[in-house]
Amino acid sequence: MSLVTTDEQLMADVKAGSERACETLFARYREPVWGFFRRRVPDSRRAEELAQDTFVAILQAAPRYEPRGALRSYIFGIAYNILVADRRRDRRADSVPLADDPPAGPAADPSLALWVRDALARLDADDREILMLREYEDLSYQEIADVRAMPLNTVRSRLFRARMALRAALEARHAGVGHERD
Amino acid sequence: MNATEHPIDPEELTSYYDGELPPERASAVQSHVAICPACQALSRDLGRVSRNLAAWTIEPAPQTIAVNVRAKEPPVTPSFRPRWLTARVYTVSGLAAAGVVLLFAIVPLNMTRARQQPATASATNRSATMTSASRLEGRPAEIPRAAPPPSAAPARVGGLPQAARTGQPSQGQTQSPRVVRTASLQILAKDFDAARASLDRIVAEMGGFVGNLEIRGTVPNARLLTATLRFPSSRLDAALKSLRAVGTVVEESQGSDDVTEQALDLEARIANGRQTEKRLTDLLQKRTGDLSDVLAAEREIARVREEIERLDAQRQNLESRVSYASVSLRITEAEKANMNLGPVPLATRLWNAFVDGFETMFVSVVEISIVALRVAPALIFWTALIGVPLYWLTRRVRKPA
Repeated sequence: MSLVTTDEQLMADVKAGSERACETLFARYREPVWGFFRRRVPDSRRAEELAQDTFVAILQAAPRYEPRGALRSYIFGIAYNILVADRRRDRRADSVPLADDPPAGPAADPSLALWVRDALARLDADDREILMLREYEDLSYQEIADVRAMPLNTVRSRLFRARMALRAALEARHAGVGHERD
Repeated sequence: MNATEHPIDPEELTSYYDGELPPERASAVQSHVAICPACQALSRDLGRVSRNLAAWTIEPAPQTIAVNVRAKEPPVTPSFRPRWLTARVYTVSGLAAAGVVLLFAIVPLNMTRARQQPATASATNRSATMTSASRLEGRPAEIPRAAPPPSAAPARVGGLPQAARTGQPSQGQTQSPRVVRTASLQILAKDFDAARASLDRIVAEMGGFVGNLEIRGTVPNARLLTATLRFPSSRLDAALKSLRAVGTVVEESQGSDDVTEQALDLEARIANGRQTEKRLTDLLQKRTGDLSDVLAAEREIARVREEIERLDAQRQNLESRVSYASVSLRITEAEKANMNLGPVPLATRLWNAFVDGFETMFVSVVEISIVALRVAPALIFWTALIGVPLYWLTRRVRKPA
């Protein structure tokens, strides 16, 4: 299988039972799916489990997969459903929406990363989710609308509102830093 | 700022920034942004927000996800099989099946030979694992020490049985090969609770114990059991056979480590240490030197005793590893939930239609208000300027009539 296999072709191969296609699909989406859960689930071990559950669900649903839209939105749709089910079960959908422990990874500015996480946590839950799907999962407006099952215009307006809220928070932060320096 | 000098709204600029506008509209927005400082500032801010968001990076995905996914992968259902069972897969499956049959045919044969001819067991050309198994099976004199009867060793958690903790090697054992056996099993269980119960039963029956055990996940989610089990080395194969019956084996591996040399080295160092301790004790009892010599001898005795204790602990640990094989077990519950997205539910579609309708109504009210506000001042002005004199003139003309 060449590296330029499209997502749709890859999923067709998975559907046909190709183990190699499964591995390629896994290699392609492991980091994105892990990132999806890691930024949204407080416990990294739980995030790991949910990422596993997502891939299991994808493999289970592969025989019934119909290429109606982008595979990317299909995968994140499954991931989102699993996330919602997990939050509903734990009854902590809004109380602990994001990772508890300090952001990990090669952040150039750890304090900024921490600030971003806190600023996102202060956003409206729907606005935040849409913004994160756009910025971190790199989904298009239509893909976000598919994943969230909401109108395209709502996605657009909520995304704008979330960005403006973050812009205001960013300006306040810079003003605060400026005052501290003064 | 009015529509003439600012023909795009900020949401549209956001869409342009995200590359979500159709080409013709995108070029119009681009032309506008080139001349509009306010839109340029907003574009810069959007970029700044995105750059700041990018600062929240996360660590790479754990490598265990791959293994775990394989472990949780459900067995292929009959309805799914015909779609992918191509000739190539048939060939590979056939070869694999033949290999398994061959393996199961060879292993009992080798074990039987080993029991019958312990002296020649090591001469056969087998894998390290099988050789180790044969060596253990070929030492009937040692097995009773390493494998207490089931009734004498019930299942327990978090501790070695007495035999493993205090096992003093006999002279014969020192000369025999010492092999540490390990195994790893990943099992997919349809009935998790039954699998859990079977686990306890197997551990009790085999005279093993549970090193550690952890269950993660809650019903109705797929649960995961991870455990380290210890079984008498001589009963490892029987234990593995029972464990395989708990569910579908997804992954299995076995290994062995010959630690004979390490054990002999430890015992030699312990023996040397004890001789040194004895010599020093004799010296101290004679007390022929001055006080500083006595103190130096006592310090040396303390150091040697400490060294002996450390080596003895190492030896006991090694003995327990030889006597009790370690099985790393992972039991995953077959996924129950169906995560297929499927069509959007009717209620969601109705709700979306309602939201769309509400938004349309709101937009129309806003647009009409905007038009009214834009037109009203001019309308009032011209009404006052033209309408009032016209009305006055009309009345003046009508009066004489």
